[in-house]
Amino acid sequence: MTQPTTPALPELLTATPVQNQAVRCDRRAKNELLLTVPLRPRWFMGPPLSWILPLSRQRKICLDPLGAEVWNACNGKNSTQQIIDSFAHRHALTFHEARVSICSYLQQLIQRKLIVLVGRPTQENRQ
Amino acid sequence: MSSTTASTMQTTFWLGMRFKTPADWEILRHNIEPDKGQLVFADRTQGRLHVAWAAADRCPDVDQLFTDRRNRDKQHSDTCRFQSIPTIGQWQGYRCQQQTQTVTRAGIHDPIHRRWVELAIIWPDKLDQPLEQDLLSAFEVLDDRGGATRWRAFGIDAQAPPGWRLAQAEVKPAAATMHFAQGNHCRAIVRRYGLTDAWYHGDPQKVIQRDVKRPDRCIFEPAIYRGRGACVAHSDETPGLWQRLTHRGRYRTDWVWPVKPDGDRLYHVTTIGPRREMIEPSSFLADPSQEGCHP
Repeated sequence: MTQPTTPALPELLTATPVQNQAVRCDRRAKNELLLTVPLRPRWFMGPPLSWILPLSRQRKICLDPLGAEVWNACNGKNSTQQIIDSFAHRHALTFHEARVSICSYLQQLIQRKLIVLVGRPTQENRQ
Repeated sequence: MSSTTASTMQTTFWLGMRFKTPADWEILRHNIEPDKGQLVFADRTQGRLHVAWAAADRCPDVDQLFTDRRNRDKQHSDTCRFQSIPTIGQWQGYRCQQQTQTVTRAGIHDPIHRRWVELAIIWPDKLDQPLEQDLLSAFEVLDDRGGATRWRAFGIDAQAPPGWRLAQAEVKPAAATMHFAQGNHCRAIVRRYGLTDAWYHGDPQKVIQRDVKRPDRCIFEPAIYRGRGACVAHSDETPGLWQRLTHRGRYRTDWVWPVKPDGDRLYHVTTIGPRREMIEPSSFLADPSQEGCHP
């Protein structure tokens, strides 16, 4: 299995963030979102360890209004560039200011397995 | 005028130089040292204008310098073709047409600040000659000897009064800061904040309270600036009684004001120093409202 490579900036901008369909999303007060991510059951999560320790089968993550805005934009239709553009326009930021914020936020969402980035295969990857 | 019209060009003042670039080119790398440094403007995906400067009392041997540059370009790409640039002001240089891009290299000697300034303009798709001409012809060296040095970048239009220098320029998303200094005692900080709808709730006083060391020693003067709530604050940051008795107190003045009715940007100017040497925050603003420095 080949390791995924870090995309270059043009590839990253054309890639489309897609939400993890297993994540449940609940709206909270002040435009916050509560995301519930089911965890894959592991061998140690069952009895007898589960009788002693309160092992959770899900993880909850709360997004602030700005995070919720980015999460809602990751609907599988908008490319990263479109998300950055609309965020920059809405908050009167420059493109690169918004890009740095959005890309680091998307990276966190990817690390928490809340979204994946779908990109077109490049010439190098095809080979 | 090129396809990029004058209305979509932005002006940047940096270290006594003036550039006019397309509005969507942003500074991604910067230096503030006058002796040697660079400034890189980038479009959405790559660096487009690289400005480099180095101290030079006299104009260097330009022919030799560009011969070296040509040889270096040839090492990168054997198939590159060279072409001279048209005469624009004092600029000298050439174009290097490579397989994937064209690069315009041009240099000029700045006799006022005694430095050699060199530009590299990257054309990834095809050469835009009118824009190349606009970029070169709009470059200007400003004679700021004995006067204020203007710094206009990152959504801030500031100036360093005579005797002051830019000590640091820090850029983070939605938070740009320019630190000015005079000697060891006087400092001024010009800040531009963004994303205000997430954290600013229309109370400029709270912004100052978060920033000062002793909010209880602050005297606030609510103000109205262009119909919006602004705030002026004076505070005493003298660390102890001994400093106060020996006239080494540190005093501070803060100005905070939002820009645009919905306040999508917030400016905060702070001056810190001994009372006798205090300068009004307005002295550091080239554009008092800061409304014209955002594309």
